[in-house]
Amino acid sequence: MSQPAALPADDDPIGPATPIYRLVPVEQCEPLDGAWMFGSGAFDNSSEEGFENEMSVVLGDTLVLLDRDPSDLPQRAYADQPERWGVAVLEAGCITDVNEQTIHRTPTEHERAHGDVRGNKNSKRRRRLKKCATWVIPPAAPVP
Amino acid sequence: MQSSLLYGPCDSSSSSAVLHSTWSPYPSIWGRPEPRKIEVQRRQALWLGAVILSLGRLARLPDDWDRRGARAVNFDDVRDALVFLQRVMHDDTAAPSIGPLSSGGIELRWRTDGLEVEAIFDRRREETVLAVIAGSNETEEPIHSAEKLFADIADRLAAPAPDRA
Repeated sequence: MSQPAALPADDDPIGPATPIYRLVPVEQCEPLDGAWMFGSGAFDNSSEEGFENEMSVVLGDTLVLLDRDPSDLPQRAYADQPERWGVAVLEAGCITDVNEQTIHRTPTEHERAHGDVRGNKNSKRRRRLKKCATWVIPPAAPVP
Repeated sequence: MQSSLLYGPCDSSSSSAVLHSTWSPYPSIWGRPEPRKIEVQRRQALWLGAVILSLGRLARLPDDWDRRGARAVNFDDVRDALVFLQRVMHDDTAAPSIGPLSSGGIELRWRTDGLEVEAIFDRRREETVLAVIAGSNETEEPIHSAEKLFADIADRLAAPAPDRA
């Protein structure tokens, strides 16, 4: 019987080609040519007290070690309304090319592949992050 | 209690109207939201109805609407955006898409061929800017001095003909 692969230590480096996944709520998308397109506001820090310098992400290298696929992230994270969330992917190197942005491994009880992109994100930086991003899956909610 | 943003009632002979709002981030001491008002001067503008619908939807977002601690939309940012739009938009300018920011601010976006325009109203983070992105060129101005920047591109943001019907 095969053993599950060991997960990275919290301080293990994250390679520049690592896919970084961001869950995007439908509120931060707009209809464009019959499909959802995310706005730059989707790549913003949390407003939760104590976490205002962090944007939650899921780390692709850990997902692979967990033998998981990013397409089920909405179902795992928001099982009550998964259709309202899409998954965007950004390459780690593209994120860290944006001023002050660093990526950290911050596994949680619910998401062992959890990470944070730390650093102030003004509107210019959010637009640069948006340029790094493409959909893995857009929200399943119907486009108006 | 949820916030609301209602258009009218208004005097049909007048060129202005009032948006009546109950905005939960500003509760009165009696525990009921304090009514807030925004006067709208540009009732003939084609974009106004779509903008008010969008803002009304945003007004109903509760705190933590993104499950990551986002704040409910800030009334003052909405008012700032409406004031700006009334100042710079032509009657036939396309309505922007409007989305919430996690801070409680709002983001307005227009897209046309080869041009993206983004206006940010975010008092909490002291960021109110207009950005015009044309390919790899990006020009950004504080909202209070962005009238000329918007005027330079306003004609390119005209609503397509079917929207004018």
